[in-house]
Amino acid sequence: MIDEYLAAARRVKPASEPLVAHYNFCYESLLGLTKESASNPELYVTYSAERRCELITVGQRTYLVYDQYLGQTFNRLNRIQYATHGSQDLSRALASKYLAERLLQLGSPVIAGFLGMVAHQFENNVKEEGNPFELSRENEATRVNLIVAQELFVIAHELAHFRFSLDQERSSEETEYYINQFLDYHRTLPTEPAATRDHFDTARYYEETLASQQCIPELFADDFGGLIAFQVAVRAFGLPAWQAVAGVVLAFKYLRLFQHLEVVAHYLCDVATVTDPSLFAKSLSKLADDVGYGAQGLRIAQLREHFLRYRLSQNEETSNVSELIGEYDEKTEFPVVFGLVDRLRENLTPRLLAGFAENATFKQDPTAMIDELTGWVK
Amino acid sequence: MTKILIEFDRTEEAMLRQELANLESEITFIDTQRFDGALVVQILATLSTVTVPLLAKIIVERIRANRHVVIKKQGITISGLNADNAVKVLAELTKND
Repeated sequence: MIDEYLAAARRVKPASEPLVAHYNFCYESLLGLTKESASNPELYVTYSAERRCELITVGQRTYLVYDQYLGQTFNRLNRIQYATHGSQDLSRALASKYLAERLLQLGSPVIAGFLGMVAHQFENNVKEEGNPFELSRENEATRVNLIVAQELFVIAHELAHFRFSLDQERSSEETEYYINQFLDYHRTLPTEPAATRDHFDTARYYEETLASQQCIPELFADDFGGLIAFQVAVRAFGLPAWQAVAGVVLAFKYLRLFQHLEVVAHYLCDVATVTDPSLFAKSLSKLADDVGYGAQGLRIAQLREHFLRYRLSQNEETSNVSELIGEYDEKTEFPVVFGLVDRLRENLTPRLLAGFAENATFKQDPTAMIDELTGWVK
Repeated sequence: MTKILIEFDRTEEAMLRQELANLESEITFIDTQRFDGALVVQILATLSTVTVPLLAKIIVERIRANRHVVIKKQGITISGLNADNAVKVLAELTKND
């Protein structure tokens, strides 16, 4: 039944068998660090354009569905972090491809096709200057380690949600205990006057965020998921501690980026139906103004990221981790979150979309053309 | 037989279970807990001469009441769904498999 559900709900392709064996090993290792339970979800690996890992209950059975395409996309983002040139455009290319694939699923083929073409152009511009992905042996080894920790975290995060549902009261108490430690840490940091004030403000900022939103289940899933993913990455796969921490934190940030792209995709889906040029321009301006994660969304994202980093720092938070995360912001997050929508606002018009819709190849088979542009057919 | 996914607001679940009680073998309720926390109930439905009329009725009622309804087939959302074309859309989906 789970395969029938996924075939209806998602665009799917068969998952790679050797990787399914790898994910089973990851899952068994993670389960080994949790309390035994006969009701633990069954791992089901798929490969879908949704790029989504989730818990799904069909009848009496709960499945933890892991999406291999999510891991593949993480891997691409890892390669971009170590690209020899063009990281920002490669990030925009990936974001455009993500939007194209999601817009096709959301039933907006014209704008999906347009973004597929944009993705293609961004990538070709970079490749004209040579292959950006010729990584040094050292960077290649780090990339391989990062993806191990990242996929472990994604699976562990969902498993943690399941654990939370089994004992909400105790899980909440535990999370609140660690959150209080985290807030205390921020309250009592450096003694230098200006910095003290800043840190006190940070604590208050997070206290307000916690008071305004029910985010304990997500904080528990990040914390518990992050810690067991770290342990398996180090013990079962032999990763250096800093790479396990960096992998987990980057995975969190990649998922946050995808959440942002989901919001943009749904917004563009609505904008695509607007034919009046001035209304169209206004809608895109509104998207550019609202972009980011919204004030409250940003606060929660910051709280979750900093709490996760604080908890993992008990194991390792070296300059290597901070450097890699700082580079990710510069190479990927800012160019996508703040740059891509601005470019769309400057260039996209109803006329351009109408022209694209008249393209003969597109008219003949829109899905085939979009799949060709995004590489989904490969 | 064509299978489609229909997504409704989570608050409709009890009512939907009641309305679809006679179609137990053709309908499966799916519970998902997603990263984005969207509160929806999803129904995996086999389209047939028996199920289409009842599903169409339920869908049309929800659309008229401005409630959330999304139909997906093979992962692609059916766009342009409205109260006037819902029956036709389901009939087309039944045919083109």
